[in-house]
Amino acid sequence: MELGISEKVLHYESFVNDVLKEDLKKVHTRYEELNSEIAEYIQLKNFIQSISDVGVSGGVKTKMDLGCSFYVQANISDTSTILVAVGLGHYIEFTMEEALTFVEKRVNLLTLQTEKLKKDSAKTKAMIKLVLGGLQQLQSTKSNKSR
Amino acid sequence: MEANIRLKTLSDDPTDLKLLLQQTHDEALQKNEYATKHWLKLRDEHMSLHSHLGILPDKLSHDVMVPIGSKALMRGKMVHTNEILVCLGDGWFVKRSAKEAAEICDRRIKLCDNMLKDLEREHNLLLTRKELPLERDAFGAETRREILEPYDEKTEAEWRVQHRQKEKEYRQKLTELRNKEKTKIDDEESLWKRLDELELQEELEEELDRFHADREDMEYDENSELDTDTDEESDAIENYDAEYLLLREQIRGANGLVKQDIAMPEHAVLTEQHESRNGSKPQAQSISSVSPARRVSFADDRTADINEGSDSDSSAECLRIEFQHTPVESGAKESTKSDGHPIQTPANIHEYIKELMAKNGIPKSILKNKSTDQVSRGNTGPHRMQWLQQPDSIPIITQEMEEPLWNTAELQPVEELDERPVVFGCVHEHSSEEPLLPPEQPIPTRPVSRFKAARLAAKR
Repeated sequence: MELGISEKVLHYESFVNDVLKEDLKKVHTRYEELNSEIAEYIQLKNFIQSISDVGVSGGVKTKMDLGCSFYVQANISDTSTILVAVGLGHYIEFTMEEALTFVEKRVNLLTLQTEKLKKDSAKTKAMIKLVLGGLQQLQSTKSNKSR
Repeated sequence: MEANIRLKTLSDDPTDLKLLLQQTHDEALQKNEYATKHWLKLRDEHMSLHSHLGILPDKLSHDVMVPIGSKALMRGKMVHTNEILVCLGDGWFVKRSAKEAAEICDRRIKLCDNMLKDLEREHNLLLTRKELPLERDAFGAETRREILEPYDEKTEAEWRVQHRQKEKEYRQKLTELRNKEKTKIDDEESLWKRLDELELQEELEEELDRFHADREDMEYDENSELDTDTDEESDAIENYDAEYLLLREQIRGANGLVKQDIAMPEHAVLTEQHESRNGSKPQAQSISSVSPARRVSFADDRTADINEGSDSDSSAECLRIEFQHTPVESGAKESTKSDGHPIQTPANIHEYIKELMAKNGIPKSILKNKSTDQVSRGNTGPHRMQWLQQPDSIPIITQEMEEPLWNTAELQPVEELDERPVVFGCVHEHSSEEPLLPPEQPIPTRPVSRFKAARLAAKR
C-alpha cells in the first residue's frame, strides 16, 4: 500500500511537471505573441491616423530596411492606399479609412484572444496548485501513519 | 543551474555520474546547435543582402512595396540607390555607397564563417567528450568489478620481515652449495689444468679469428694451414706449450714478412721481362705451403714510406733499381696493350702508380686495416733494420738481371734518372731456419698474463 501511494505521488508530480507546466508555458508564449501583434497593429493605427491627420500630399520619405539593418531611402508618393496583412501571408489593399477600421477590429479580436489565454493560464495554474496541495496532503497522511 | 543543484545531491554511483555527464554534454550540445542555427541564419541573410546590394545601384530608382511596421505595406519608390545607411550597432549609423556596404557585408559573412567553424570544433569536442567515456568504459559496468587491493601497513611490515628471513635462508643455502663446488676442484693439479685449458681456449679463439680474417682479405690458399690448425685444435690440450711457442713464432713471422705483397707486381714483371726466375718467389710460396706455422702478411703503404726513408740511410745494403725502357720495349708495350690489364710492362707500372697517386694523393691499400696489422706495424721499423743487416734479407733482384737495366740507365743523365720510376718498396724475405729475434723478447701484441709468467718461471 505504501508503495502504491509513493508511486502515485510520483505519477502526479510527473503529471504536474510534464503536462501542466508545459501547457502553462505554451499559453504564455502564445500570449506574448498576441501582445506583440496587438502592439504592432496599434502602431499601424497610429501611423494611419497621423498620415490622415497631417494630410500629406507630396508623399512620405522613409528609410526602408534591406535586411540586417541596412537602410535605403524610399519615397511613398501615393498615400491614399495601404496594404495590410490579414494573416497567413495575405495582404489586402485598403484605403486609409478602411484600413483604420480593419485594424481596430483586429486589435479587438486579439485582445479577446489574450483574455481567453489569460483565463487558460489561470486555470492551469489553479490545477497545478490543486495537484500539489493534494500531494502534500497525501504525504502528510503518510508521515502521520508512519508516526 | 540545474546541473549545479544535481551536483550537490549527487551520489557516487557511477550510473548517476554517467547520466549527469551525458546530460551536461547534451545541454552544451543543444546550446551549440542553437548558436550554429543563429549564425547560419545571419550568414544567409547577409548573403542575400550582398546580392541585393550588387543589383541595387543598377537603376536610379526601384518600384517597391515599402513596409510600414511588419503588418502593412505601401506602394513606393526606392531612391538614392547608391546611398545606404548601415547600422554599426548600438544606434550608430554610417552612410556608405552600395559597394562599400557590400564590403561591410563581406566582412560580416567572414565573421559568420569563422564563428561557424569554431562552433563546429566545439561540437566535435563535446561529442568526443560525450562519447569517449562510453567507449573507454570509464564508468565500468555492473558485470565487471573494480579491482581493489587493500593495503595494510601492519601486514606489509610482517611480510617484509618474513621475506627478509627467507632471503637469508636462501643465501645461506646458496653459499653452502658454492662451498661444495669449490671443494671439488680444490686439488691444485686439477686447478692448474683447468686454468691452462681456459687460457688455451682463449688463444685458440683469437687465432681462429685471425685466420678467418686473412682468408676473407686475400684469396690466398691457406687450406693446408687451416687443416693443420683444426688438427691442432683437437689435441690442443696436450701440446699446449708447443702450441704457444708456435703462436709466438707466427706473430714474429707476420712482423718479418711484411713487404711481400707490395713488392710482388714489380717483381713479377721483372722476372717476366728477363724470362729468368731468380727463385726467390717460388721459395716464398714453398715456405708458406710447406711449413704451416709460417704466415705471410702484408704491411700498409705507410710502412713502404718508412722503408724508402730507411733505404736511403742504408744504401749499401738495399739496392735501388732504376731503369729506362728502350724504344723496342715501348713498341712491344703498345702491341701488348690490347690485353686490357693496366700493367703489362714496368713502364706501365710507373704510369699506373702515378695515376693512382694523382687520384688519391697516397696510394690506397687494398688490404683491410686489421688491428693485429696495426699493432705489428708499430714495431716493423726496428725489426726491419735488423733484417737489413742480415745478408739473406737483401732484395730479390740478382746481379745478372740488373745489368741490362744499368746499361740503359747509363744513356740517361743522372738528374733525370732520379725522377725516373723507382721500384716502390723493397722485397724482404727470410728463411724459416734463422732466428730473427731473441725468443725472450716480449711481444707487445700478446701480453702474457701474470699467472702464466709465474707458471713458466716455475717450470724453468
